[in-house]
Amino acid sequence: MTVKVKHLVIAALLLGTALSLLQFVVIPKLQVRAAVKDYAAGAPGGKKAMLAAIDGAAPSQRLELIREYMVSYVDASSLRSFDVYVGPGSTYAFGQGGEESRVWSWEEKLPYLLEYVSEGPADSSGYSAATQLAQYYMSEGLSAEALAVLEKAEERGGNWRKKLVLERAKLYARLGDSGDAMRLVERLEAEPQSVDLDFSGEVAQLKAQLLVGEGRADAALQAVDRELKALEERIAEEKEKFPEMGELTPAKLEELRLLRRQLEKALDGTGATVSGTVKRSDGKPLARVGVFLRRESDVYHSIVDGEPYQILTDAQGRYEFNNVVAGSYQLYLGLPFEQIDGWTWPTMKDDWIEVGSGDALTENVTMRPLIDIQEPVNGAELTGSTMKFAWEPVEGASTYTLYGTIPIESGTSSMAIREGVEQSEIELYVEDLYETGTSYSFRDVDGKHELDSASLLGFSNPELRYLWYVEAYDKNGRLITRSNGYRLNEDTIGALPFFYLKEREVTAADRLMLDGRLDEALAEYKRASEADPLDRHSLNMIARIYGAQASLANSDELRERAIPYLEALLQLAPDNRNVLFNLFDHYDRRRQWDEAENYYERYLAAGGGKTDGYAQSLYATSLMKQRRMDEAIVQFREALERDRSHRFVGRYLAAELYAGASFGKIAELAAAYPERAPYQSGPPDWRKLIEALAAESEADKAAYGKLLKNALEAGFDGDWQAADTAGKPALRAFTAALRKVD
Amino acid sequence: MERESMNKRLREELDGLRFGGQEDVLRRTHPRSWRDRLRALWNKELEIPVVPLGLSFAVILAVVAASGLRSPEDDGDAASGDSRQLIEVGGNTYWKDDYERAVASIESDGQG
Repeated sequence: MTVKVKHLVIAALLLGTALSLLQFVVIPKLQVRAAVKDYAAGAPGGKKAMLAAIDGAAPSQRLELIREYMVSYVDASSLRSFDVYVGPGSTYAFGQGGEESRVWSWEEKLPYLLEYVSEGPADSSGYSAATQLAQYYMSEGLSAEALAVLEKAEERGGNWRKKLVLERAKLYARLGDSGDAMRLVERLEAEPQSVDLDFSGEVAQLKAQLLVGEGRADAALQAVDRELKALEERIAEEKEKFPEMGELTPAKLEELRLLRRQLEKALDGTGATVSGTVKRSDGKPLARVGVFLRRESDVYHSIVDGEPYQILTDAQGRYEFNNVVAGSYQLYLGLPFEQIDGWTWPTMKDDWIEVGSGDALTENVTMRPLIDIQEPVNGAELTGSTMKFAWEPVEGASTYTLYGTIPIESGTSSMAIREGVEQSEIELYVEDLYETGTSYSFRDVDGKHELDSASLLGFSNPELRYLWYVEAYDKNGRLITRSNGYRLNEDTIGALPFFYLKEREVTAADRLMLDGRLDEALAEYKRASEADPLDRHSLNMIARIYGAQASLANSDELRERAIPYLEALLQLAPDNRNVLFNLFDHYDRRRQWDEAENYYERYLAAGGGKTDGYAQSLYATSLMKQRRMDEAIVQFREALERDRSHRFVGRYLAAELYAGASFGKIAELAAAYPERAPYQSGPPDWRKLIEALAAESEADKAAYGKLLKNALEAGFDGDWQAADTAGKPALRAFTAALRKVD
Repeated sequence: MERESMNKRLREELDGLRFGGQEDVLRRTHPRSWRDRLRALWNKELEIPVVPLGLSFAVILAVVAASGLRSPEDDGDAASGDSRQLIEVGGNTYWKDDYERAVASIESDGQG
């Protein structure tokens, strides 16, 4: 080919341009894209790629990347960017079924955030970067730096300046410098109103907290009232201006109303302190763990920004909340995977922190290593008539509770197999395991709610892979540790807690159950039982089918049908606690007291005298219905100590009322045993109900006493209609609440 | 005859034209000034072997592209390019890939 030099030169130039375009524009763009993709997917190396992309990017894009992927990725607040949140009775991972950690360590992101605060835009991302830095500095004990970074961001102005001032005020409050905090609050109050409906409420909330800290709860209440009024007026205004916006309730309004209720209760009191350390049992402090002191009304939802007590632990694992308003709280932790992997925080479902005004409470958190399980593991196929569970003993453990887990259609279902196990191993008859009371699941067939018949087989399905775990308790019944938790690396993954129960074979009736043909299965079990009266499995299954159908249809008639089979089963397995308790419950419902009493005693004896809060409460209720009040009261009291949700406290109070205790004493008891049902829409406030009774009785005490007794009598006899016609509103409210106890 | 008349007509028609580009032609054929030399070089014709040159370009391009586009997944330490999922099994939480590997290993043990 012949070309002229000029064409060659032009071609070379063009090629050069194209190459440099590729090198300096296209490739970095692609790199950023690949980094973003990997990072967003949480792929290993994603963080590294993202750092490289940021470092290689042009200045404008650099800030953009820092904003997008460091400052505001996942969530604006570093308190919301943990992998796992643990609280009493609940653990959840961020973004269910989460991915590998995308959380930046502070070593990684510190220089970038600092750069962003001084060079990035003064907008919400700048605010977020500054507050994250402030939290970090606080956790490092560098309060001066924390204040300085907020002030620096403030000086850059912008719409978020006031929020930064508020943050700084909160920081002063946290540092115990309420003078400076109050000065900033007053400065904010003097400024023109912000468009953000929530903002002034937030300021008022802090002000109220500061006032409570000074012991001026009344002034705090006034401040909140003022703000509530202003907020309500503003909402009305907004509604007038924008009628198409419909119902508008800023989150802050709810917050303030809640705070108001709390303040009302805490009037005349001063703010409390709740502090402690978060450590491992080997003494290692856990730094920069999120600690959340959550109010009773908040624990049923996941942690949100509006909750007032949130903090990171410092390098020594310490945390401290000041100016805590009196009330009931639960402690939650936020942890990265590394800190929980192989460890557990043995908190229990009904662990509440009762904060009184002026209290200085210490709540230390100790993480414990998970229990190593020994057998059965890794899918062992058990064929003997007995089986052994064994695990590594736990120091200081007085008893263990063994749990089994059954896979069901929509997940798994767990139940206690044995409580109060004193050794770190236990040998069980598999037949007893088959008869362990398991729960059953439902499924929707053509829009109808139906029993999932396969789930009724419980542990007696040789085809199913079962799982187990164990919990260790000290002599006071406090959980020490458990075998189930986060097992995320080779050292912690341990043996898999799987086993198969292949001692029995699937019968024809079982096959029908597995195929979902419940009625045919029931008939087949009955046939099998008639053919072989010693067939425990068939008796158990018949009773179980009727029991499940009865509770689905809430039918006493179906419940009755199970009884002869339960009694026959008891002949063959006289110590089956599950059957004994079912029979107690049955005869109690029928008010056949002698039989009920007999079965409850046998139930107790079969468990070596041990019972649980639920069973004991039902027994106490039975005694109450028989008017054996003194005995009922003793049983209720013990049960209330065992079951700290106090779900049966209403019945206990009724028993005390009937026995003639004074309203004052009963109100005290109600306050001492508050009913906890955070997942329901507010349990009854028994103290208030009792106080209302007391007030109502004032007019004519003698007549009221009679009325009360009659209403209680009617209630004990299950005649709620009669109990309800009492005609006095407070009495009506009490009996209505009493009726709902279960 | 016809040729003769054609020639004559041509002469008549070209009679008004005079060639005045002698200098320009000389400058191009025998460049003296640096400008002329440069222009000569600029317009010089080269004989280029297409196949070897094209191939070498292709190789260079491929190398550049490969070095520039190396994705982070190839950076060595990554175990797998896919994101890791958590799985909860009977109260325990594992990485799904770890868990599946463990299950596969116990199942193969069971058969073996």
